[in-house]
Amino acid sequence: MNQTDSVPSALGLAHRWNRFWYAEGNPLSLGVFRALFAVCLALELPVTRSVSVFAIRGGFHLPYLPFVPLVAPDVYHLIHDLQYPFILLLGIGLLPRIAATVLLVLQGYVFFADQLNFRNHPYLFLLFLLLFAFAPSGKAFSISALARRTLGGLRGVGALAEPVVPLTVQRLMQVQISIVYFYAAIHKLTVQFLGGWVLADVVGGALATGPFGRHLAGLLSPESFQTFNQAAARPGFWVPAAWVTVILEMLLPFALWSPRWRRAAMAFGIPFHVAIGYTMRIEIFSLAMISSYLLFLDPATLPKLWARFGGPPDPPPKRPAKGRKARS
Amino acid sequence: MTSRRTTNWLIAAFLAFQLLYPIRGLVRAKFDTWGEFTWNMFSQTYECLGRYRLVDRTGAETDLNLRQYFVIPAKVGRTMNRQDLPVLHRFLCEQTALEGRPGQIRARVSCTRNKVETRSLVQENVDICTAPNHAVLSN
Repeated sequence: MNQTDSVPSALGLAHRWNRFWYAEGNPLSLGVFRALFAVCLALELPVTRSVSVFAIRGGFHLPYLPFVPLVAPDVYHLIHDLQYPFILLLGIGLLPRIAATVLLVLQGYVFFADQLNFRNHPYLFLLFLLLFAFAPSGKAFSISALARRTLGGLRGVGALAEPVVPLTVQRLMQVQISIVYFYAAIHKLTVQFLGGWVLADVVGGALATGPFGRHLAGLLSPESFQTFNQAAARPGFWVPAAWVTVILEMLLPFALWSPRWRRAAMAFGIPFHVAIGYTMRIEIFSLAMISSYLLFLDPATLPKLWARFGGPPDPPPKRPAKGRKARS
Repeated sequence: MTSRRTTNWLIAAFLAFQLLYPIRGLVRAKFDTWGEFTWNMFSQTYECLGRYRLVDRTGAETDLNLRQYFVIPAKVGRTMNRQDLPVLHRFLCEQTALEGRPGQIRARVSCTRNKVETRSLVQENVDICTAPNHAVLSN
Protein backbone atom coordinates (compact mmCIF):
# COMPACT_ATOMS: atom_id res chain seq x y z
CA MET A 1 0.00 0.00 0.00
CA ASN A 2 1.44 3.41 -0.88
CA GLN A 3 1.16 6.61 1.08
CA THR A 4 -1.73 8.05 -0.92
CA ASP A 5 -3.81 4.92 -0.25
CA SER A 6 -3.21 5.04 3.47
CA VAL A 7 -4.69 8.53 3.92
CA PRO A 8 -8.25 7.65 2.78
CA SER A 9 -8.17 4.36 4.69
CA ALA A 10 -7.14 6.19 7.86
CA LEU A 11 -9.93 8.66 7.29
CA GLY A 12 -12.34 5.77 6.74
CA LEU A 13 -11.24 4.18 9.99
CA ALA A 14 -11.68 7.46 11.86
CA HIS A 15 -15.11 7.87 10.28
CA ARG A 16 -16.15 4.37 11.35
CA TRP A 17 -14.73 4.95 14.85
CA ASN A 18 -16.73 8.17 15.21
CA ARG A 19 -19.87 6.64 13.74
CA PHE A 20 -19.69 3.80 16.25
CA TRP A 21 -18.65 5.60 19.45
CA TYR A 22 -20.43 8.90 18.91
CA ALA A 23 -23.74 7.63 17.59
CA GLU A 24 -26.78 9.18 19.19
CA GLY A 25 -30.09 7.66 20.06
CA ASN A 26 -32.89 7.24 22.53
CA PRO A 27 -31.58 6.38 26.02
CA LEU A 28 -34.58 4.27 27.07
CA SER A 29 -32.66 0.96 26.82
CA LEU A 30 -29.91 2.44 28.96
CA GLY A 31 -32.45 3.76 31.47
CA VAL A 32 -34.28 0.45 31.81
CA PHE A 33 -30.97 -1.40 32.12
CA ARG A 34 -29.93 1.08 34.83
CA ALA A 35 -33.08 0.24 36.82
CA LEU A 36 -32.60 -3.53 36.40
CA PHE A 37 -28.92 -3.23 37.25
CA ALA A 38 -29.87 -1.44 40.48
CA VAL A 39 -32.07 -4.42 41.35
CA CYS A 40 -29.07 -6.70 40.76
CA LEU A 41 -26.93 -4.48 43.01
CA ALA A 42 -29.54 -4.62 45.78
CA LEU A 43 -29.73 -8.42 45.53
CA GLU A 44 -25.96 -8.74 45.45
CA LEU A 45 -25.26 -6.50 48.44
CA PRO A 46 -26.08 -9.03 51.22
CA VAL A 47 -24.01 -11.66 49.40
CA THR A 48 -21.01 -9.36 49.06
CA ARG A 49 -21.35 -8.35 52.70
CA SER A 50 -21.13 -11.98 53.81
CA VAL A 51 -18.30 -13.16 51.54
CA SER A 52 -16.05 -10.09 51.39
CA VAL A 53 -15.23 -9.91 55.08
CA PHE A 54 -11.52 -9.80 54.31
CA ALA A 55 -11.82 -6.02 54.32
CA ILE A 56 -12.07 -6.33 58.12
CA ARG A 57 -8.95 -6.17 60.26
CA GLY A 58 -7.58 -9.48 61.56
CA GLY A 59 -6.51 -12.80 60.06
CA PHE A 60 -4.66 -13.37 56.82
CA HIS A 61 -4.79 -10.68 54.15
CA LEU A 62 -3.66 -10.56 50.57
CA PRO A 63 -4.06 -6.91 49.62
CA TYR A 64 -3.88 -5.61 46.06
CA LEU A 65 -2.34 -2.41 47.38
CA PRO A 66 -0.46 -2.43 50.69
CA PHE A 67 -1.62 1.05 51.72
CA VAL A 68 -5.38 0.33 51.56
CA PRO A 69 -6.50 0.37 55.21
CA LEU A 70 -8.64 -2.40 56.68
CA VAL A 71 -11.61 -1.42 58.83
CA ALA A 72 -13.43 -2.45 62.00
CA PRO A 73 -16.54 -4.68 61.66
CA ASP A 74 -19.01 -1.84 62.38
CA VAL A 75 -17.41 0.35 59.72
CA TYR A 76 -17.51 -2.58 57.30
CA HIS A 77 -21.24 -2.96 57.85
CA LEU A 78 -21.76 0.79 57.59
CA ILE A 79 -20.05 0.73 54.18
CA HIS A 80 -22.67 -1.76 53.04
CA ASP A 81 -25.67 -0.11 54.72
CA LEU A 82 -24.77 3.22 53.10
CA GLN A 83 -25.12 1.69 49.67
CA TYR A 84 -28.87 1.07 49.85
CA PRO A 85 -30.01 4.71 49.42
CA PHE A 86 -27.60 5.19 46.53
CA ILE A 87 -28.80 1.98 44.88
CA LEU A 88 -32.32 3.38 45.19
CA LEU A 89 -31.23 6.67 43.62
CA LEU A 90 -29.57 4.79 40.78
CA GLY A 91 -32.65 2.64 40.31
CA ILE A 92 -35.06 5.54 40.03
CA GLY A 93 -32.62 7.57 38.00
CA LEU A 94 -32.30 10.47 40.43
CA LEU A 95 -28.74 11.82 40.30
CA PRO A 96 -27.62 8.51 38.80
CA ARG A 97 -24.09 9.65 38.00
CA ILE A 98 -23.46 10.74 41.58
CA ALA A 99 -25.10 7.57 42.93
CA ALA A 100 -22.96 5.40 40.64
CA THR A 101 -19.80 7.25 41.69
CA VAL A 102 -20.54 6.81 45.42
CA LEU A 103 -21.36 3.13 44.90
CA LEU A 104 -18.18 2.72 42.87
CA VAL A 105 -16.10 4.11 45.73
CA LEU A 106 -17.85 2.06 48.45
CA GLN A 107 -17.90 -1.21 46.53
CA GLY A 108 -14.49 -0.55 45.07
CA TYR A 109 -13.00 -0.19 48.52
CA VAL A 110 -14.39 -3.54 49.71
CA PHE A 111 -13.39 -5.23 46.46
CA PHE A 112 -9.83 -3.94 46.32
CA ALA A 113 -9.15 -4.19 50.05
CA ASP A 114 -8.15 -7.81 49.57
CA GLN A 115 -7.55 -10.20 46.68
CA LEU A 116 -9.54 -12.83 48.58
CA ASN A 117 -12.63 -10.72 47.91
CA PHE A 118 -12.35 -11.17 44.14
CA ARG A 119 -15.33 -12.61 42.32
CA ASN A 120 -16.05 -12.13 38.66
CA HIS A 121 -19.49 -10.58 38.71
CA PRO A 122 -18.84 -7.98 41.44
CA TYR A 123 -15.90 -6.96 39.23
CA LEU A 124 -18.26 -6.69 36.27
CA PHE A 125 -20.65 -4.65 38.44
CA LEU A 126 -17.80 -2.29 39.34
CA LEU A 127 -17.08 -1.76 35.67
CA PHE A 128 -20.74 -1.00 35.03
CA LEU A 129 -20.77 1.45 37.95
CA LEU A 130 -17.71 3.16 36.48
CA LEU A 131 -19.51 3.48 33.15
CA PHE A 132 -22.77 4.63 34.74
CA ALA A 133 -20.80 7.43 36.41
CA PHE A 134 -20.37 8.87 32.91
CA ALA A 135 -23.60 7.70 31.28
CA PRO A 136 -26.65 9.91 30.57
CA SER A 137 -28.82 7.11 31.96
CA GLY A 138 -31.09 9.45 33.93
CA LYS A 139 -32.48 10.92 30.72
CA ALA A 140 -35.01 8.10 30.39
CA PHE A 141 -36.97 5.73 32.62
CA SER A 142 -36.24 7.95 35.59
CA ILE A 143 -37.89 10.32 38.02
CA SER A 144 -36.43 13.29 36.19
CA ALA A 145 -37.69 11.97 32.84
CA LEU A 146 -41.13 11.46 34.39
CA ALA A 147 -41.10 15.01 35.75
CA ARG A 148 -40.03 16.35 32.38
CA ARG A 149 -42.79 14.38 30.72
CA THR A 150 -45.40 15.58 33.22
CA LEU A 151 -44.32 19.21 33.17
CA GLY A 152 -43.91 19.21 29.42
CA GLY A 153 -47.33 17.69 28.89
CA LEU A 154 -45.89 15.05 26.62
CA ARG A 155 -47.42 11.65 26.32
CA GLY A 156 -46.99 8.48 24.29
CA VAL A 157 -43.90 7.84 22.25
CA GLY A 158 -43.06 11.51 22.02
CA ALA A 159 -42.24 11.59 25.70
CA LEU A 160 -39.86 8.70 25.26
CA ALA A 161 -38.29 9.61 21.96
CA GLU A 162 -36.74 12.70 23.54
CA PRO A 163 -34.03 13.36 24.29
CA VAL A 164 -31.50 11.94 21.91
CA VAL A 165 -28.22 11.37 23.72
CA PRO A 166 -24.71 10.18 22.81
CA LEU A 167 -24.53 6.39 23.10
CA THR A 168 -20.80 6.31 23.82
CA VAL A 169 -21.07 4.81 27.30
CA GLN A 170 -23.78 2.39 26.22
CA ARG A 171 -21.43 1.20 23.47
CA LEU A 172 -18.70 0.64 26.07
CA MET A 173 -21.11 -1.46 28.13
CA GLN A 174 -22.01 -3.51 25.06
CA VAL A 175 -18.34 -4.05 24.27
CA GLN A 176 -17.71 -5.05 27.89
CA ILE A 177 -20.45 -7.68 27.77
CA SER A 178 -19.00 -9.00 24.52
CA ILE A 179 -15.52 -9.20 26.05
CA VAL A 180 -16.86 -11.20 29.00
CA TYR A 181 -18.49 -13.73 26.67
CA PHE A 182 -15.52 -13.89 24.33
CA TYR A 183 -12.87 -14.54 26.96
CA ALA A 184 -15.13 -16.91 28.89
CA ALA A 185 -15.34 -18.98 25.68
CA ILE A 186 -11.62 -18.78 24.88
CA HIS A 187 -10.72 -19.98 28.38
CA LYS A 188 -12.96 -23.01 27.88
CA LEU A 189 -11.25 -24.22 24.71
CA THR A 190 -9.51 -27.05 26.52
CA VAL A 191 -9.77 -30.81 26.23
CA GLN A 192 -10.88 -31.01 29.84
CA PHE A 193 -13.72 -28.53 29.49
CA LEU A 194 -14.97 -29.82 26.15
CA GLY A 195 -14.64 -33.38 27.45
CA GLY A 196 -17.10 -32.59 30.22
CA TRP A 197 -14.66 -32.92 33.14
CA VAL A 198 -15.10 -29.37 34.38
CA LEU A 199 -18.89 -29.30 34.16
CA ALA A 200 -19.17 -32.73 35.81
CA ASP A 201 -17.20 -31.30 38.71
CA VAL A 202 -18.71 -27.81 38.86
CA VAL A 203 -22.32 -28.43 37.82
CA GLY A 204 -22.74 -32.12 38.63
CA GLY A 205 -22.51 -31.56 42.37
CA ALA A 206 -24.65 -28.42 42.27
CA LEU A 207 -27.33 -30.30 40.33
CA ALA A 208 -27.76 -32.93 42.99
CA THR A 209 -27.94 -30.52 45.91
CA GLY A 210 -29.44 -27.39 44.27
CA PRO A 211 -33.03 -26.47 43.44
CA PHE A 212 -32.94 -28.44 40.19
CA GLY A 213 -31.92 -31.58 42.07
CA ARG A 214 -34.66 -31.09 44.66
CA HIS A 215 -37.23 -30.53 41.92
CA LEU A 216 -36.04 -33.61 40.06
CA ALA A 217 -36.08 -35.69 43.23
CA GLY A 218 -39.74 -34.83 43.59
CA LEU A 219 -40.48 -35.94 40.04
CA LEU A 220 -38.43 -39.13 39.85
CA SER A 221 -38.43 -42.27 41.91
CA PRO A 222 -35.48 -42.58 44.33
CA GLU A 223 -33.88 -45.20 42.07
CA SER A 224 -34.25 -43.05 38.96
CA PHE A 225 -32.90 -40.00 40.79
CA GLN A 226 -29.88 -41.98 41.93
CA THR A 227 -29.32 -43.21 38.37
CA PHE A 228 -29.50 -39.61 37.16
CA ASN A 229 -26.97 -38.44 39.75
CA GLN A 230 -24.60 -41.24 38.83
CA ALA A 231 -24.88 -40.29 35.17
CA ALA A 232 -24.39 -36.58 35.97
CA ALA A 233 -21.17 -37.40 37.81
CA ARG A 234 -19.67 -38.81 34.58
CA PRO A 235 -17.88 -36.33 32.27
CA GLY A 236 -19.40 -37.89 29.16
CA PHE A 237 -22.84 -36.77 30.33
CA TRP A 238 -21.70 -33.15 30.13
CA VAL A 239 -20.02 -33.17 26.73
CA PRO A 240 -23.05 -31.76 24.84
CA ALA A 241 -23.57 -29.06 27.50
CA ALA A 242 -19.87 -28.14 27.36
CA TRP A 243 -19.94 -27.73 23.57
CA VAL A 244 -23.18 -25.76 23.66
CA THR A 245 -21.70 -23.47 26.33
CA VAL A 246 -18.56 -22.74 24.33
CA ILE A 247 -20.40 -22.30 21.03
CA LEU A 248 -22.93 -19.93 22.63
CA GLU A 249 -20.31 -17.90 24.46
CA MET A 250 -18.31 -17.66 21.25
CA LEU A 251 -21.27 -16.60 19.09
CA LEU A 252 -23.19 -14.31 21.47
CA PRO A 253 -20.65 -11.45 21.50
CA PHE A 254 -20.98 -11.17 17.72
CA ALA A 255 -24.61 -12.17 17.17
CA LEU A 256 -25.93 -9.68 19.73
CA TRP A 257 -24.53 -6.85 17.59
CA SER A 258 -26.15 -8.08 14.40
CA PRO A 259 -29.70 -6.86 13.65
CA ARG A 260 -30.19 -10.08 11.69
CA TRP A 261 -29.06 -12.49 14.43
CA ARG A 262 -29.93 -10.49 17.55
CA ARG A 263 -33.30 -12.12 18.19
CA ALA A 264 -31.83 -15.59 17.81
CA ALA A 265 -28.94 -14.64 20.09
CA MET A 266 -31.37 -13.48 22.76
CA ALA A 267 -33.59 -16.52 22.25
CA PHE A 268 -30.62 -18.76 23.05
CA GLY A 269 -28.82 -16.47 25.50
CA ILE A 270 -31.74 -15.93 27.88
CA PRO A 271 -32.47 -19.66 28.49
CA PHE A 272 -28.71 -20.23 28.73
CA HIS A 273 -28.44 -17.76 31.61
CA VAL A 274 -31.67 -18.99 33.20
CA ALA A 275 -30.20 -22.50 33.18
CA ILE A 276 -26.92 -21.25 34.71
CA GLY A 277 -28.84 -19.38 37.38
CA TYR A 278 -31.11 -22.29 38.18
CA THR A 279 -28.62 -25.14 38.14
CA MET A 280 -25.48 -23.41 39.44
CA ARG A 281 -27.18 -20.89 41.75
CA ILE A 282 -25.63 -17.91 39.95
CA GLU A 283 -28.88 -16.03 39.77
CA ILE A 284 -27.74 -12.41 40.14
CA PHE A 285 -25.06 -12.58 37.47
CA SER A 286 -27.55 -14.30 35.16
CA LEU A 287 -30.12 -11.57 35.76
CA ALA A 288 -27.53 -8.88 35.04
CA MET A 289 -26.44 -10.53 31.80
CA ILE A 290 -30.02 -11.00 30.60
CA SER A 291 -30.79 -7.37 31.50
CA SER A 292 -27.75 -6.20 29.56
CA TYR A 293 -29.29 -7.55 26.35
CA LEU A 294 -31.49 -4.43 26.38
CA LEU A 295 -28.39 -2.41 25.54
CA PHE A 296 -28.02 -4.28 22.27
CA LEU A 297 -31.50 -3.40 21.05
CA ASP A 298 -31.79 -0.75 18.40
CA PRO A 299 -32.33 2.50 20.39
CA ALA A 300 -35.74 2.93 18.71
CA THR A 301 -37.03 -0.53 19.67
CA LEU A 302 -38.07 0.06 23.27
CA PRO A 303 -39.79 3.41 22.56
CA LYS A 304 -41.75 1.68 19.79
CA LEU A 305 -42.76 -1.13 22.13
CA TRP A 306 -43.66 1.41 24.79
CA ALA A 307 -45.83 3.26 22.31
CA ARG A 308 -47.54 0.03 21.29
CA PHE A 309 -48.47 -0.84 24.87
CA GLY A 310 -48.44 2.59 26.51
CA GLY A 311 -50.54 4.79 24.26
CA PRO A 312 -50.90 6.34 20.82
CA PRO A 313 -47.68 7.54 19.21
CA ASP A 314 -46.94 11.21 18.86
CA PRO A 315 -45.46 12.69 15.71
CA PRO A 316 -41.74 11.99 15.35
CA PRO A 317 -39.67 14.54 17.28
CA LYS A 318 -37.21 16.89 15.68
CA ARG A 319 -33.66 15.70 16.03
CA PRO A 320 -30.65 17.96 16.47
CA ALA A 321 -28.75 18.61 13.27
CA LYS A 322 -25.47 17.57 14.86
CA GLY A 323 -24.75 13.90 15.39
CA ARG A 324 -26.21 10.82 13.90
CA LYS A 325 -29.04 8.51 14.76
CA ALA A 326 -27.77 5.19 15.95
CA ARG A 327 -28.42 2.04 14.03
CA SER A 328 -26.90 -1.01 15.55
CA MET B 1 -17.16 19.29 28.77
CA THR B 2 -14.76 16.57 27.78
CA SER B 3 -13.28 17.03 24.37
CA ARG B 4 -13.68 14.31 21.79
CA ARG B 5 -9.90 13.80 21.75
CA THR B 6 -9.91 13.10 25.52
CA THR B 7 -12.93 10.83 25.14
CA ASN B 8 -11.13 8.90 22.41
CA TRP B 9 -8.16 8.36 24.69
CA LEU B 10 -10.41 7.22 27.56
CA ILE B 11 -12.23 4.79 25.27
CA ALA B 12 -8.93 3.46 23.95
CA ALA B 13 -7.52 3.02 27.46
CA PHE B 14 -10.62 1.18 28.65
CA LEU B 15 -10.61 -1.08 25.60
CA ALA B 16 -6.89 -1.73 25.79
CA PHE B 17 -7.10 -2.90 29.39
CA GLN B 18 -10.23 -4.98 28.90
CA LEU B 19 -8.93 -6.61 25.73
CA LEU B 20 -5.29 -7.13 26.65
CA TYR B 21 -5.26 -7.93 30.36
CA PRO B 22 -7.36 -11.14 30.06
CA ILE B 23 -4.68 -12.55 27.75
CA ARG B 24 -2.59 -12.89 30.92
CA GLY B 25 -5.05 -15.53 32.09
CA LEU B 26 -4.58 -17.47 28.87
CA VAL B 27 -0.80 -17.55 28.94
CA ARG B 28 -0.29 -18.13 32.67
CA ALA B 29 -1.37 -21.38 34.29
CA LYS B 30 -3.48 -21.51 37.41
CA PHE B 31 -0.42 -22.84 39.24
CA ASP B 32 1.15 -19.40 38.80
CA THR B 33 -1.74 -17.05 39.49
CA TRP B 34 -5.40 -17.13 40.36
CA GLY B 35 -6.30 -15.38 37.12
CA GLU B 36 -8.41 -12.50 38.34
CA PHE B 37 -9.75 -9.95 35.84
CA THR B 38 -9.43 -12.43 32.96
CA TRP B 39 -13.03 -13.73 32.76
CA ASN B 40 -11.95 -17.35 33.16
CA MET B 41 -15.31 -18.20 34.67
CA PHE B 42 -15.84 -21.86 35.48
CA SER B 43 -13.40 -22.81 32.75
CA GLN B 44 -11.24 -25.14 34.82
CA THR B 45 -11.07 -27.12 38.02
CA TYR B 46 -8.30 -26.65 40.55
CA GLU B 47 -7.87 -28.72 43.67
CA CYS B 48 -5.06 -28.60 46.18
CA LEU B 49 -3.91 -30.81 49.01
CA GLY B 50 -1.79 -29.05 51.57
CA ARG B 51 -0.25 -29.90 54.88
CA TYR B 52 1.66 -27.52 57.13
CA ARG B 53 3.61 -28.80 60.13
CA LEU B 54 5.26 -26.88 62.93
CA VAL B 55 8.44 -28.62 64.04
CA ASP B 56 9.65 -27.41 67.43
CA ARG B 57 13.19 -27.51 68.85
CA THR B 58 12.73 -31.03 70.21
CA GLY B 59 11.68 -32.26 66.75
CA ALA B 60 8.03 -32.74 67.75
CA GLU B 61 5.59 -32.01 64.95
CA THR B 62 2.19 -30.34 65.16
CA ASP B 63 -0.17 -29.82 62.24
CA LEU B 64 -0.96 -26.17 61.52
CA ASN B 65 -4.60 -25.57 60.74
CA LEU B 66 -4.57 -22.81 58.12
CA ARG B 67 -8.32 -22.38 58.26
CA GLN B 68 -8.07 -20.73 61.68
CA TYR B 69 -6.34 -17.74 60.06
CA PHE B 70 -9.02 -17.14 57.41
CA VAL B 71 -12.26 -15.33 58.14
CA ILE B 72 -13.84 -17.58 55.51
CA PRO B 73 -11.99 -20.91 55.78
CA ALA B 74 -12.99 -21.98 52.28
CA LYS B 75 -10.81 -19.19 50.92
CA VAL B 76 -7.59 -21.01 51.87
CA GLY B 77 -7.50 -22.61 48.42
CA ARG B 78 -7.44 -19.16 46.80
CA THR B 79 -3.85 -18.68 47.98
CA MET B 80 -2.60 -21.98 46.58
CA ASN B 81 -0.64 -20.64 43.64
CA ARG B 82 3.02 -19.73 43.26
CA GLN B 83 2.37 -16.00 43.22
CA ASP B 84 0.52 -15.88 46.54
CA LEU B 85 2.00 -18.71 48.56
CA PRO B 86 5.11 -16.72 49.59
CA VAL B 87 2.79 -14.11 51.16
CA LEU B 88 0.89 -16.82 53.04
CA HIS B 89 4.13 -18.44 54.20
CA ARG B 90 5.53 -15.15 55.47
CA PHE B 91 2.27 -14.58 57.35
CA LEU B 92 2.42 -18.06 58.94
CA CYS B 93 5.99 -17.49 60.09
CA GLU B 94 5.09 -14.16 61.66
CA GLN B 95 1.90 -15.51 63.18
CA THR B 96 3.48 -18.56 64.86
CA ALA B 97 6.21 -16.30 66.23
CA LEU B 98 3.57 -13.93 67.62
CA GLU B 99 1.76 -16.87 69.18
CA GLY B 100 4.98 -17.86 70.97
CA ARG B 101 5.35 -21.07 68.99
CA PRO B 102 8.96 -21.07 67.78
CA GLY B 103 10.21 -23.71 65.37
CA GLN B 104 10.37 -24.56 61.71
CA ILE B 105 7.36 -24.73 59.43
CA ARG B 106 7.46 -27.40 56.77
CA ALA B 107 4.89 -27.64 54.04
CA ARG B 108 3.62 -29.91 51.33
CA VAL B 109 1.29 -28.42 48.72
CA SER B 110 0.17 -30.38 45.69
CA CYS B 111 -2.36 -28.98 43.22
CA THR B 112 -4.23 -30.60 40.35
CA ARG B 113 -5.59 -28.64 37.43
CA ASN B 114 -8.51 -30.03 35.44
CA LYS B 115 -8.14 -33.39 37.18
CA VAL B 116 -5.11 -34.32 35.06
CA GLU B 117 -2.13 -32.02 35.70
CA THR B 118 -0.63 -32.26 39.18
CA ARG B 119 2.30 -30.24 40.50
CA SER B 120 4.03 -29.69 43.82
CA LEU B 121 4.22 -25.99 44.55
CA VAL B 122 6.41 -26.08 47.65
CA GLN B 123 9.82 -27.56 48.39
CA GLU B 124 9.26 -30.22 51.03
CA ASN B 125 11.31 -30.82 54.19
CA VAL B 126 12.69 -27.29 54.37
CA ASP B 127 11.72 -24.45 56.68
CA ILE B 128 9.40 -22.13 54.77
CA CYS B 129 10.51 -19.26 57.00
CA THR B 130 14.16 -19.39 55.99
CA ALA B 131 14.15 -21.03 52.54
CA PRO B 132 14.50 -18.85 49.44
CA ASN B 133 11.14 -17.55 48.22
CA HIS B 134 9.62 -19.11 51.35
CA ALA B 135 10.15 -22.55 49.81
CA VAL B 136 7.76 -21.88 46.95
CA LEU B 137 9.08 -23.57 43.82
CA SER B 138 9.64 -21.65 40.61
CA ASN B 139 8.41 -22.94 37.23
